[in-house]
Amino acid sequence: MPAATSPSPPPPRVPGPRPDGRGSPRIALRRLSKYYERFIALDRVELTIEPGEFVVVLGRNGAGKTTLLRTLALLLSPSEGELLFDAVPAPALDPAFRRRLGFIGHETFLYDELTAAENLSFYAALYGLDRPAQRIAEVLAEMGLEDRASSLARNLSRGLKQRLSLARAWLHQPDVLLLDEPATGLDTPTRSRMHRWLAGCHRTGRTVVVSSHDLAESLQPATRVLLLEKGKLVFDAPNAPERLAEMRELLEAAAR
Amino acid sequence: MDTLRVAAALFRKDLLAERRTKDVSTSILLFGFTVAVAFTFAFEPTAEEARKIAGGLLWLAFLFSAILGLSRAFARETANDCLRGLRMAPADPGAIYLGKLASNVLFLVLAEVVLLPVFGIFFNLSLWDRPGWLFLILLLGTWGLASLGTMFSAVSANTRMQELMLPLLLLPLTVPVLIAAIECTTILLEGRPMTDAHLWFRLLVGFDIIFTVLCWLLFSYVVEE
Repeated sequence: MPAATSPSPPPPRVPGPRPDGRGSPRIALRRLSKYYERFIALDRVELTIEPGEFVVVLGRNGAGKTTLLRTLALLLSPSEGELLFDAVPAPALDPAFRRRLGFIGHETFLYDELTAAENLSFYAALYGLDRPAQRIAEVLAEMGLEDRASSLARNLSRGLKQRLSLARAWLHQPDVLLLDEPATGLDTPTRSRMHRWLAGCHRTGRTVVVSSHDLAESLQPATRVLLLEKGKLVFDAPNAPERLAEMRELLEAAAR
Repeated sequence: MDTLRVAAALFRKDLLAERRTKDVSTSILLFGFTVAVAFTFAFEPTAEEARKIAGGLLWLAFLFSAILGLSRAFARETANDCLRGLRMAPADPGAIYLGKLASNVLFLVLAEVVLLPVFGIFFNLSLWDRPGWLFLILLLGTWGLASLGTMFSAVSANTRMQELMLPLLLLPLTVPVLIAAIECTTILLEGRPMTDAHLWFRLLVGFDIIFTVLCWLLFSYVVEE
């Protein structure tokens, strides 16, 4: 079987409003906290993400990045505070709103006993996609997985699984892409291609939120940088080269 | 519509996965067959005794097999955190329950249809005199077991003592459906008119409706983090 190629960037589109006229939602967190019994995972986070931003969330392990991403993906309910999408509180959102979100977590959400194409076919059915076969072929090609369509997910390497997971999250072309340390398990060329691919998604007007603990790698396509420490948002600024030293210092301080 | 679409997608996915791995069906069938053999050698009933006790033994075998099968129902969803992937679907979480319930009922009924002739041979029973009634009892009884079993399978999926938790939660609550199914089956096997089972049928139907609706409505609390 020929080796799968790296993800290729989505077709270039003119930056600005989405071609379908639908914009990404404005996301707002109002003094949002999340507790696990006595452990405070997120501590009164105040944050607004404008449509079309590319946000990188930095922080060491246990800083609250995963909790933040899962909360934004509507997988976790806040213990206190509010999460709003276009000023609508999360509990009041219609379940159909989830169509506008795509999420990649630490796990792949893939069924080992199904092939790559069958996994995508299942998720296409969940999202009620029109012409699923065509879309699955497109997304497999975009991720360089067309040669692995009939491979069982369990037989794919960690990197290929991660690419298939990206394909799953991208299948329904969500307005907001939420990625929790998506580069884990990928080799360096594939990581670079993935960042280019994400930058391509961002150019189509979508909001991208990526968590990472690698400052140098994650900053390239970002428009904004957040730093979490012990659940608190301690740094929130546009991604500017002149602030790189400050960010590095804060990240190193958090790691100590 | 979203709910039905998500439930149907999950049902089809479970069928495909089961056809490929045969995880659930193999364990149910092997266990059911072992119980049938054990009961036969333990009781060695006459034809008359067999008609009286077979309903109870049959449903005990189905219950134990069902517990084994139901304990695997959410195993596929917990691997690779797939349950979170399902929760991202644009439908209420009750859709996950309905899809899982449908696949559980199908797997259990198919296993029972295979196990029935085994019981028929070992206990020298004529099971096929009134096949429509027999199938109806199987369907209603199994639906009752699966309605609660699917819910508790999800509850116990992420607990440390999964194998212990499911029967602990399930067994006390399934007593009514078990008694009703046993009574209906015994009336059928004894050749009595099915009008004698009228009340038991009503209990089965009522149990199935109440617990299916209740579990569907409560399922979002079960999968919520």
